[in-house]
Amino acid sequence: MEKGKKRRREEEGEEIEAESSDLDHSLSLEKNLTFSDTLMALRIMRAQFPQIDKVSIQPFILQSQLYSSVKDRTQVDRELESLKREKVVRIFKLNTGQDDHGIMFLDDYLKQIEHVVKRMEERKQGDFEVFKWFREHVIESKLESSIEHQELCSLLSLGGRVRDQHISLLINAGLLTRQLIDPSMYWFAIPNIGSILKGLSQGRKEVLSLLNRRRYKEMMLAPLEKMRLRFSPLDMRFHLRDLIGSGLLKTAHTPTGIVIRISKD
Amino acid sequence: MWKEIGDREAGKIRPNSFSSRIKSNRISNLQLSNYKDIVSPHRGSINSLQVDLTEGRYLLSASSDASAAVYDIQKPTNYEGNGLIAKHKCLFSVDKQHERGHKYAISSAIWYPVDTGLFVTGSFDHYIKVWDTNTRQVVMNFKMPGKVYRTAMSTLATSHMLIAAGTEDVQVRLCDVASGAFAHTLSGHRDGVMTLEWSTSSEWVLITGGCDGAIRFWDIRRAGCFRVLDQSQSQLGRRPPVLDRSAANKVFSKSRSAGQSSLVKPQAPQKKHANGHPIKQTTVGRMPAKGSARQRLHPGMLSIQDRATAHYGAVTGLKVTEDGMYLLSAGSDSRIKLWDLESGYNTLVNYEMVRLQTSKPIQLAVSEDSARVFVPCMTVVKAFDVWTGKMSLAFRGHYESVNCCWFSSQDQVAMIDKFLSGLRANRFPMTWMKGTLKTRIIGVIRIYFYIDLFQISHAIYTKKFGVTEFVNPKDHDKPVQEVIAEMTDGGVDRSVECTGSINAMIAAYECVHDGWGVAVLVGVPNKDDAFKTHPVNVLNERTLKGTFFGNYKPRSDLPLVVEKYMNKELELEKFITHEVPFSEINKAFEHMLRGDGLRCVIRMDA
Repeated sequence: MEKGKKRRREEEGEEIEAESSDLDHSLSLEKNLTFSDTLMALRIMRAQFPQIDKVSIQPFILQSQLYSSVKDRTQVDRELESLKREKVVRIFKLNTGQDDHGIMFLDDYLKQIEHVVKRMEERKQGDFEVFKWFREHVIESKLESSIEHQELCSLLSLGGRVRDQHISLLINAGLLTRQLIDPSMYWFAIPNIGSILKGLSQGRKEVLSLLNRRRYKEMMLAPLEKMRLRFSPLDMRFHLRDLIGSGLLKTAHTPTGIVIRISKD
Repeated sequence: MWKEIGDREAGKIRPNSFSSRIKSNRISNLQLSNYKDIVSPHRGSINSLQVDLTEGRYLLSASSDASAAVYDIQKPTNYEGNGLIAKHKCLFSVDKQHERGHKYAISSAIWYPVDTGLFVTGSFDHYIKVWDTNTRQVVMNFKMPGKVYRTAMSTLATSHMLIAAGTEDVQVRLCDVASGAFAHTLSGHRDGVMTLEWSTSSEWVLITGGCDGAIRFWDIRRAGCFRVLDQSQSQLGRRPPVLDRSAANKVFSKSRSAGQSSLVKPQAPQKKHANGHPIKQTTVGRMPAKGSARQRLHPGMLSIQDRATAHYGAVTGLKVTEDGMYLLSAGSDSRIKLWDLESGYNTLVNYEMVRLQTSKPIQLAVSEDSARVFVPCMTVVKAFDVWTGKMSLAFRGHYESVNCCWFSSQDQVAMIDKFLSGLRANRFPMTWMKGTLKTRIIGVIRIYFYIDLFQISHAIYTKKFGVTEFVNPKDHDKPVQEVIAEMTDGGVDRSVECTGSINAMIAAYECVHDGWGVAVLVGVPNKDDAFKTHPVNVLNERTLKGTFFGNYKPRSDLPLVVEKYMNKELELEKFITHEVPFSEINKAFEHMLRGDGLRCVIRMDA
């Protein structure tokens, strides 16, 4: 019953938030821990993405954050798959861990690419039509998170003659990265995301060590949320959602509120 | 259950649904068994377990100390605890001492599917041996190019007797038992093959999972594999409706031939055939990969170019469901995926998992009606519902990581399911076996009033809490601390005294080992008692310590205990032996004075 009330409050909150659509730090994690629908969760979390000054990056959401917000994981997987097929979001495999995936709305991704292309154009000369080809042919048709070299060349050649310099340009811009296991396959990547990923893994370690140092390896959610992280530009709420979703932290409901503890299994 | 029987009698339920309801009820009540104990002679971890498929009577286990043992799980060898605990010792075991036994760890042991006359073992010493069960001799020996990770024989095979072997070499080899020679090899994997299974719907189809993360399907009558599972090909739910499938086809851009052809439009593969048909390639493509020579490949070998992966790490476990429609695969990326075998798609069911063992292959088990899958996750065996991915049961009882589990669906009394995963017996109707190292826990009861019932009940109660050995002081004339010191080569590492009797306290202190033994006194003694012991014990660095209320701060620690109970990590109900209303309070006192029970609850309202 408590969950039902929470959800109703959330739905009202969601409507208001969707209208305002800018960051809202005052909405605490405690009230908004679970959502009923993946798309709604994605939108809310996108709106709650912290603003970082040094790097300009569009909001992205980690898959583990979705798992912690929506109760049924299978439903999350399936809804993500259908959103991917409808070309609303794009999923990227991140290199920060075993199974980390980042989800970005397609419009945000295209904005990010444009931003990067503009910066590159200011700096040096080169053949920049490859970015246009990339955007028109590759992103439209290839929905998975990785692509083979042959296929990449064949899709890019729909726009014009492809040369090796073009592919190097794409890699330099940060749109593609080579796979370590397989030299002829590439992962799609979000450009300019490197420092944030570093902050992500450092922030994870910091949160875990914060809780590990405590005597009983647990802490109430309300004060934990207010703590500031030293090594990560992302806020505590982001990290908590991610860690709960990947199973490293567990939540428990107590009469005084939600308590977060390290899971030991 | 009685309601179901009544309904069946009246004809309201059909026989199949009746039996499946009873079975699923039984499975949801799986617990560690107190009445059945399987005694393992192994000194290393158990890597594989299998109950024979013909009778469901003999259990074969393979261990890291190069030994394999066979047990009869239906007929115990002897009884303990006054006839209540059935002990199953091994019927025989073949180990390093055997003249042609394995030299290194045995990674897999399987029964010959037709009868229990033969069994096959594969080991890290690069050999696969076929043993005759009755004479316990090696009848056939196959040398492999690398460490053998898994062996498998098809249970449906009527026209071939092939052992499929997955080794650290990239090729899967098929060994023929009938002729003693190798049949052929299957190439396509790019790294070692950790796990393989024969299909349960066709005797010619073999499924292999490799360290490169790929799952390949092979028809052994042809060259090359006919399918590689790709985790990005997915379907939502059990089977997509017909329209969705054609849409999925267009989305599927990574076709088999994309790697070779330089055509822009990827060719739609005709791969959704019944098992056994190879892929029809419309063009035999050339492979203009960067820097490698052009090759014209046999159509069956084109699958080598397919680099689809099923998992982001190595594939560590495979299990085909009994009905042959689904495949469950576990990977070292700590994910378990459910694949629809007919369409070859990932069904996107998410099993809540945090960590899985990554260096060793694990053995999964599926219940008979394919509703639950049992997965060993580190020290716990978790049962998940196959379709929703939610964890329904967790079996905690092992001290080390669990390697393998087996679900046996037969029993001596019809239709009761058994489940084995280690060295412990599970509660009726389930048994457990684990692949772990054993630690010894000895329980002593100190009774002043000898009552037969009490002994037995203790034998059972303490078994539930993990006791491995049991000493009754009444059985020996020597003081019990000397008995224990003898049993444990000098003394125990830790002893805990809980009754408060001063003699028990002294015995607890004197039975710990010199140098590192610690005796903890929990029970509250009488205020007039005197603790007397030889000072030489103190000199020998034995430690005596006491604890008041368990060193607990009630405010912060009691909630943790309650939490543990709620998570079913503490089984408090088993401590409560009697329950009486307030009016019969004297009975409770009598129970206590007689020593009948552990804890008696008095209900104050009655």
